[in-house]
Amino acid sequence: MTSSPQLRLYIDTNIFLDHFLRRRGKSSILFREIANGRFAGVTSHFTLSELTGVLKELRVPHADIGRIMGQVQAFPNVQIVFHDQNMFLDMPQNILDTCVQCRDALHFMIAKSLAADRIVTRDSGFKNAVDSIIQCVTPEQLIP
Amino acid sequence: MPDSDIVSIIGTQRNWILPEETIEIVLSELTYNSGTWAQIGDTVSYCLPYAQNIFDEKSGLQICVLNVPKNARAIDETEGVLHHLAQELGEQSLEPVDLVKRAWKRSEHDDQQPSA
Repeated sequence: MTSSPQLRLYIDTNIFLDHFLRRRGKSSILFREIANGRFAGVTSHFTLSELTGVLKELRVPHADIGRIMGQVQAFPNVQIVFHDQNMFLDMPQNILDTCVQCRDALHFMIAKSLAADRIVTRDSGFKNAVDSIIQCVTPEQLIP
Repeated sequence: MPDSDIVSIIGTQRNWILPEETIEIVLSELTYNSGTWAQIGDTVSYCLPYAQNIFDEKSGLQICVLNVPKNARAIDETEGVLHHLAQELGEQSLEPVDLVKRAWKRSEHDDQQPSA
């Protein structure tokens, strides 16, 4: 008997924020399922940058930001990838045309380069732009 | 300590030799944190992350990843860490997606400010 291959999930910034805010939904459960090996998680240093920006915006003390970011990096089975310029060489035209924010395009290109099977996000604008190439899902769609 | 017990004076510093019964010296086992997880109280912290090039089988690419010791407790310790802000954000109808976009706008605005 062969086990099904582990889905590789690109985790968007808003899913981490769900977890920090303990919002309704299954974002925290998703991180635990990833840690348990049900899924493989990837994200990028853009995500860390965005999280830091949001925490600063929310006036979280700098020392706490440093501690939280250190802990995020320690999430088991979530690989944090630095972009490489080669990841941006063949950005599809439709992404260039439709991604409202260039940072969405950066997330998408890293997810695509890493052969992510799904992007986990609650950003409907992002989903509309990239869903035809990489399916965007919410944690609840992954863990019914 | 009485001055009569002084064994040497170097500059302004006076030096005594303590009799053995005066103080018990207990040497605890030395520990090293370099590159490893450190336990500070009940909180998980981390030391020395570094970037590492690895071959990624799924994508077939050589990728650069952050190499940090992993610890499942980090998930527990960050769950709800901003819970105290949830109600305030809810009252403003701010979703996490909105927070990210607001932070982008702030950083773009800050980037456009002339430096002093």
